[in-house]
Amino acid sequence: MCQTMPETPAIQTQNLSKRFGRIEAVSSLDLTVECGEIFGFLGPNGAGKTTTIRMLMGLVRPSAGQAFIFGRPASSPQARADGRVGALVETPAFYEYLSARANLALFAELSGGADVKQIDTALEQVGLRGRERDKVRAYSHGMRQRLALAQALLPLPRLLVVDEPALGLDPQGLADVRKLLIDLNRQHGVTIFLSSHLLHEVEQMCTDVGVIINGRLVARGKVEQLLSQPEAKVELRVDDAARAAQELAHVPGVIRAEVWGASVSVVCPRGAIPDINELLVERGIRVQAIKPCAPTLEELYMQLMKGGEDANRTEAGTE
Amino acid sequence: MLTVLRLELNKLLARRGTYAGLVVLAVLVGLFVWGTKVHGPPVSQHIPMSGEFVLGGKILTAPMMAYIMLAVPVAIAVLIPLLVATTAGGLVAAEARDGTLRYLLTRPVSRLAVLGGKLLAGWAHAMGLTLLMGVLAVAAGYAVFGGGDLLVCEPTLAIFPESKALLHLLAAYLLAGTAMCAVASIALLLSVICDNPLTAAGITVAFLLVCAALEVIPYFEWLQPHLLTAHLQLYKHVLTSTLPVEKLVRSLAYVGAYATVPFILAAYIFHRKDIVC
Repeated sequence: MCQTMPETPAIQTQNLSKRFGRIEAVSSLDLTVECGEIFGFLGPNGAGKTTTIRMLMGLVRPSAGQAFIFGRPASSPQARADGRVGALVETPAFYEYLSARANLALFAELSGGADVKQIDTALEQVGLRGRERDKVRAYSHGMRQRLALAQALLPLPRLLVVDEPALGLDPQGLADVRKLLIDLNRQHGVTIFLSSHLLHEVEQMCTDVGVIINGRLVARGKVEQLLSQPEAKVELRVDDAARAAQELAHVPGVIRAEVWGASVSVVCPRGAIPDINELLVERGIRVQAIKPCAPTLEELYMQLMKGGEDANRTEAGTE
Repeated sequence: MLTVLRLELNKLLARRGTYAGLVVLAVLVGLFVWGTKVHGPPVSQHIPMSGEFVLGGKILTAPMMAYIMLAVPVAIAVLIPLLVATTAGGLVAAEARDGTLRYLLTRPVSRLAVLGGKLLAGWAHAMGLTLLMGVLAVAAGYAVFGGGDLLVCEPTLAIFPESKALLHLLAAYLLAGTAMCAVASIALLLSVICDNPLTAAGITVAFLLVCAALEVIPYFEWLQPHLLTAHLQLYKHVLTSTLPVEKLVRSLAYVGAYATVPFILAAYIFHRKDIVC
């Protein structure tokens, strides 16, 4: 989908800021999302995620800075026309007195129109076939969320901006949406900008993430890059967890050793794991299993939330 | 803009509220026809004029019913402006409240086109309601009283033969509809400013009431010719024996200004507005 202008980022913001009265919702946001990425945009409530999305979609005027969609100013309708941008911004909203199909046709018409087959395909993709003639007022929240996703897919976009797409979906719906977004990205090259609170979902889906806190981007990079740490975290299953933790606490290089039920959770340099194993055996503690614990996005997120390492991560991620 | 207009008209036609307004209008026409038949003057009568003159003939006719519906304040000064304000006041505000405006504006269509389409839909609704009232009045009039000439006594006596009467009435209703378009423009402006459709409609009606009040306060004599309510009855100009061109053009200019200036303001505000609801 990005073959025409491979060098132009799908999304680019430069010093993008938005102030509502005395509150700075977004502050000097510099962000680039390349074509073909699935970009996860993370942040706590009120961090500025939705305001950023609103500025990207031309709904809110930036107080300073600029946003571009495929190289065109985001505020220009042309950017959304050329870029074929689909959007799901916040909660789904539809004309309650119209059927799902009529709603889709109406929104699609403003993007140049969609034929019956395209609408059928979009309904099929979100699992609403068979219910398309029902009035939207009869839809549950989950069905509205699916319909909102369907309208974003008409016509097939090059860029899909989705704000909390999993909101109100049951586990099956969640899995369907995840699969749909991944398929769109892999099979059609659709660039996806995804804002979500579900860190596990983001970790499973996204190639890149950005974390925004208090309107500022505090981390940005490839998921694996952000999660790669010099230290390893392992879970040691031993016959005497309390004594093992005590022994390991005095070993040089071990950063942390904590008892976790029948196991010990150890944070240490990667190369130190064989030595730790040997030491425990020497001290008469039998090691039954060593299980590496990969750092999760959630842990990184929580760290960032606490305010630690933010500057280092931004630099590491953007390099 | 034409796509937006078509979609807006589709939405209007799909809403029950639109038909509720039409039903109320039809009931009002029915009540007036029934009331005129039961409690009004005889269909044919002799009206004593000044001196020795006596006017005789069939007074109650289908064209007369259409004229009555224009002349009674409850229709053209109250009901239709209320219906127009309610619909036009919701064109933006209701969509903002429901969140659909957010989705409309993420589509590749300019805000000016969205607002322009909505304005044209508001105008079409205002004109449609006014013309519908005329059609209903003529149809009910023919059904109950039959055809005949139109006698208008205000400001001067004018008699229009049936064939010409219908043409004059068409022009009168078109002018009345044009005046209602100005009401729609004001309601649309308020719809952009307020995020509540009822507030927008309420302020529009309040604006008309204030204008009407100012019209009867002598202190505001200097202001009165410029008020919208002073030109809402511009239809009267085409129901006279001689067409007062200058007055008609002046009234049309005022109505035109009231129809376009609010839109220009609305477009400016809407263009700069942050859509946060």
